[in-house]
Amino acid sequence: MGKTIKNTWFQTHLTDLLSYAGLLLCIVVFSILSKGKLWSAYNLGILVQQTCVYAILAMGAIFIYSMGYMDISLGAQLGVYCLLLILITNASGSLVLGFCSILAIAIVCGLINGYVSVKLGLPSIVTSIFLNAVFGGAQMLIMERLGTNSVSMTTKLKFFKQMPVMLAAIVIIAVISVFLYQFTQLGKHAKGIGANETATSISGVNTTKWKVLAYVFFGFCIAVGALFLTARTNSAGKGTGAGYAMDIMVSLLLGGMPLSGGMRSKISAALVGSFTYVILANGLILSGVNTTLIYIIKAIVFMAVILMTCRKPSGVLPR
Amino acid sequence: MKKLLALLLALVMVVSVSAVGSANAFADDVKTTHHKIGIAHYTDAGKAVDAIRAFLDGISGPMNLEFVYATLSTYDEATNLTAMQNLISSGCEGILMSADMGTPAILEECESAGVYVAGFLCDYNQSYWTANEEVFGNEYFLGTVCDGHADIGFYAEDVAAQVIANGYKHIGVVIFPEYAYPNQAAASRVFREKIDEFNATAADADKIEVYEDQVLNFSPLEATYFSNYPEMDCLFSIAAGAGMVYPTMVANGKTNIPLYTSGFEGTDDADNFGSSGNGCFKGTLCSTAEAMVYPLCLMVDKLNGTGYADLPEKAERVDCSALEILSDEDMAKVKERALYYSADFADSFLSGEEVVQLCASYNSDATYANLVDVINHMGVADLK
Amino acid sequence: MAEILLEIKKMSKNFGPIVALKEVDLTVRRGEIHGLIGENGSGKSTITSIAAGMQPASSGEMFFKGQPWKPDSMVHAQAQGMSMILQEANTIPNCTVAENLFAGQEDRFSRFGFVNARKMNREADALLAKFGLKHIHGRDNINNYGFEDRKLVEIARAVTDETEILVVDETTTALSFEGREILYKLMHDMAAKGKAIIFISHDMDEILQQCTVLTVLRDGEIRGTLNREQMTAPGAVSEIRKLMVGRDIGDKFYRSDYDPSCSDEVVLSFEQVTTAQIKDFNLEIHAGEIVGLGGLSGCGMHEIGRLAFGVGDIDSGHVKLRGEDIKDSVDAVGKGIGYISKNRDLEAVILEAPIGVNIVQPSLRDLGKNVFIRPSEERKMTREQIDLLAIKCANGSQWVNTLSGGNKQKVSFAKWIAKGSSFIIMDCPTRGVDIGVKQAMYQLITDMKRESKAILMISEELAELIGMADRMIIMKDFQVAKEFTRSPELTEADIIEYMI
Repeated sequence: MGKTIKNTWFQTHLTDLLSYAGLLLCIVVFSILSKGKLWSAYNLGILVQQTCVYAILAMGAIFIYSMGYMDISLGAQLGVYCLLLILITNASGSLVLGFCSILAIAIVCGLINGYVSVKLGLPSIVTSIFLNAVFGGAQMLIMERLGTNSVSMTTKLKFFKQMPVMLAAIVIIAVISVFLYQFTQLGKHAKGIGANETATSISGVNTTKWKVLAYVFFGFCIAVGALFLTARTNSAGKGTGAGYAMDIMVSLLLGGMPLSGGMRSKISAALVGSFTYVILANGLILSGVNTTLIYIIKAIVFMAVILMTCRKPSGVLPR
Repeated sequence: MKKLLALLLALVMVVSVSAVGSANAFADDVKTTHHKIGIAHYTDAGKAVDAIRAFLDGISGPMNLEFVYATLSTYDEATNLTAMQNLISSGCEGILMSADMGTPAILEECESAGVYVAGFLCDYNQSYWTANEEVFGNEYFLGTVCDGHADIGFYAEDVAAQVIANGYKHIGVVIFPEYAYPNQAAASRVFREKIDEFNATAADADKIEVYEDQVLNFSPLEATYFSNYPEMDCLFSIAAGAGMVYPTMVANGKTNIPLYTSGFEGTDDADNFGSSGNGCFKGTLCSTAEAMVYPLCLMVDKLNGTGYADLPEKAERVDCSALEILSDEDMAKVKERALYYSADFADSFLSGEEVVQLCASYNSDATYANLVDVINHMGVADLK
Repeated sequence: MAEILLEIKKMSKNFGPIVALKEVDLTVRRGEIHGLIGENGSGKSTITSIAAGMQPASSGEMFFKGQPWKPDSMVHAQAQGMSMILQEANTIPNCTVAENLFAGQEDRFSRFGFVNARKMNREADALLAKFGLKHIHGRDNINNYGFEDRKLVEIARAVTDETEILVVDETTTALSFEGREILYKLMHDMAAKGKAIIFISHDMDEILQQCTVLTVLRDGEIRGTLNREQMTAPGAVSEIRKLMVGRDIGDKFYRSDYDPSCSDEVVLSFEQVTTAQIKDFNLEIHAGEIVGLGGLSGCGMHEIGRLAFGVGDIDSGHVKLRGEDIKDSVDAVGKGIGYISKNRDLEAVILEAPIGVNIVQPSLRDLGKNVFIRPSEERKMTREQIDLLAIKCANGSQWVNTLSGGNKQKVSFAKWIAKGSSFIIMDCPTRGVDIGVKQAMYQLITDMKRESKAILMISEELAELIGMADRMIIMKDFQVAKEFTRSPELTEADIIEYMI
């Protein structure tokens, strides 16, 4: 009998339960405090609209975070893709061309992000810092060249702004993600890399290839997210996408995603987390909470979730 | 232990949310109708925020209004749309907003939700020049009051006059990028014209040199600016000086250079103004929270289904008085009597009852012209 | 008889419904080296971990130095004279050796909040020298040292002048011949000074050589206690095994046949392989052949294992599988090579993952040929292997880190059996595994041979090489020192001279 950890079913699923509990708690508390406004048809519509981009991005990010990696270039990439989508569509008159272009760029950047970090042996966060700088600079340059704060698309993306379409997009991306994550090598190897990269590689898994593919899928999700983000306001500016990298990280944590990746990672973290994140912001305003208190309350919720979900590493004996 | 702490934190959240969850309703005044108005401001801290809160709190009783606050972004359209949606969802009948980013999409959203929008302390340049018909032509947009004057040439002229009078010879000018703040670039041009006029008649020895515009990309001034212009003896930072320029001056021991700026923050710029502190600040500019009555009255009238007889067909953007502080006396007055500085409603230009009287729906004699006139008499000279 | 140092009375321990210890009584006296032996899960580590303050007992009493004993932490226990060295690595990475040695007592070396590193390093060197560890230096980063040296640093950290009882829990498996000698000497010195050692090991020979008293456990109960005379009596080994396993496992411990024949088909070949350390290494392994590779831990045999798996840089020469060069581990697995690393917890299995995930991992590339991986196929594969290897677990979704060492090792075997690899490299396949599992492993390896699989078995235990291999290659200083063919006459004494 070693000092083994006894994992009962309850303990193994405690993190899952807690992340759902966080969402449920938010829903219950805000249902009461907002006097039911949380459930108004209008509010449900905007919740879907506000969650859509987060959920799509978070599902892509799950593949990266599963490997125990992080990406901070997400926001800057998103901003540039939104701008390019508008500019290319305005210039060519074809949304399809615009979307295909940013999809192509996103996938190429995914390849670079994955491949460079593997080949140079750099931590992925370093390449993502580099990409963040490149994209941030590109966004700034584009906006300065345009000489404006915000550019609008001439043809309106009304279709992608409808609630059923956004809901469908979440569902479709979720189905694709769950399929890739649970039923293909991509998801299984991503988790394996996060849990133990050496053991995974010794099992004959081409870790380089799967890392790169994970980044490619992430890129795909960013491109789709950019389409829906653009559709929301029909415009983009120098600040579009700012803060998204952090928002996604917080959403995933709220959803119970371990930052170290590994086997406890799951797609549901992206959905639960992004809904929790959006409902938290929405519910606080619906309940009429003072804006200055909102930060504090968000911080408290965040700390509570972290305390509940993170595990303490085993201690070390002093001499 | 950890779980207990987590539970405790969750409890704290519930309690603190429920504590602020209930808003008081004022319904003692029979004449007024209750409305819920969203206030979406581009920032959530600083003198201006405190003053706005104090003013709105002060008038909420007599006006029978309830306010819900949200924070906007000056650079991200989606953030703003989200904030506006949340306000609509919380039951706001009208929303006042102070950031012009993603406005067309926001109006579309508000129009479909039947919620009116008006601007405050924001000149809506982006919309004014690129989406005028979509925004100002939209019946759900009621107009906006600028953050002082849309054109701040008057301030540039006044600063130029002071520069000439004080005999400064080498002047630096700092502005934000023209695409974001075209009025700053315009003010710089006015300033240069005034100096050129003076130089045309001045003796060679008296001529004033104005350096090229230094454009700040929303980041603090670089220290190298001072080594590039070692002879500089006056700095006109039309861009927010207290936050972006003054710290660099302190860090480089350049507080001996007189600084004219805009965006009075009531912190370092109040302590070191004129003859107090290190005396670095010589002039500053800000607009006053009471100017919010312009969009507020238009909004209340709209929600009550009435309007001024002389209300223009199309939504307007109007100027309001700016607090232009160019001397110790000005500063003393502002510190003593301005709501902007004290955040005390007792210092307000307008009492709650006076605001009620400005609305057409509560006072049939009220006119639009009078409303515009009122917000243009809120300068330093008007401080009681 | 010497004074009683530690007395345990009617100690029980439950983990939920599972009973780990049943009313155990144990007495440790001064001057004893008290061995604890038993299969994985028999409760030996549970006893010591309770005595050393890692976890509380469910019921029962303890007396230490005559006083009631209820340590609330390992730190507390250590301060009172009860120290423990664990099987798992327990040093702090990325710190210096000195920082590791004096973790928690930096105050001794600090003035005004600054730690006097030089003084700390000097004392660390002195302390290490006291333990005969002159090759380890206080100022060096702990990461620069191998697993074994880190273990030795831990020993130096655990043992102080105040230590009355030292618990050595399966530590020796991590140590080489030299390291073990250092530890044995320390143990005997302490015993001579009237202190006591509780020594847990799977290695029967080691136990018999070092211990003065031996307690045998099975299923959480004490099955017998032997004194020195009983331990050295003829037939003692099979008696102890019987107590441990609960049945007579007989002589069929290793392979029973002595037939070294195999197919002529060459599966793996090293052709003039030269690396930074290895020069012109040649080796051929045939289908149905078990090649044993032995030597001291630094002799290069582990490197040969890695090279055979396509890992490591080759300056010249070729490593080929059925005539084709092996490019890397991905290629190696594709060609049908399996590799069971010596470093089980870090390289051979993913601890933080279910058994099923581990078992199917190498096979995913086959299951996922058409992109979609059927969960039913994964489950089937997992089920088959759990049954085949008799892995003790609730089901395939139980996590590997909850398994005992032997069952973890079974999982790392299962990966390659499931994959159907035709050539398997096993680096120390029975390290830290109890006798019952060991026997099962040997049976498995024998079965593999019968299925015409080629096996490269690298081991530091000569007995198992003699017992299992068709051909034994003894290495020394990165060269082949001697080759032996399977024979009943071969003894360890014949081989040892070529190793040292």
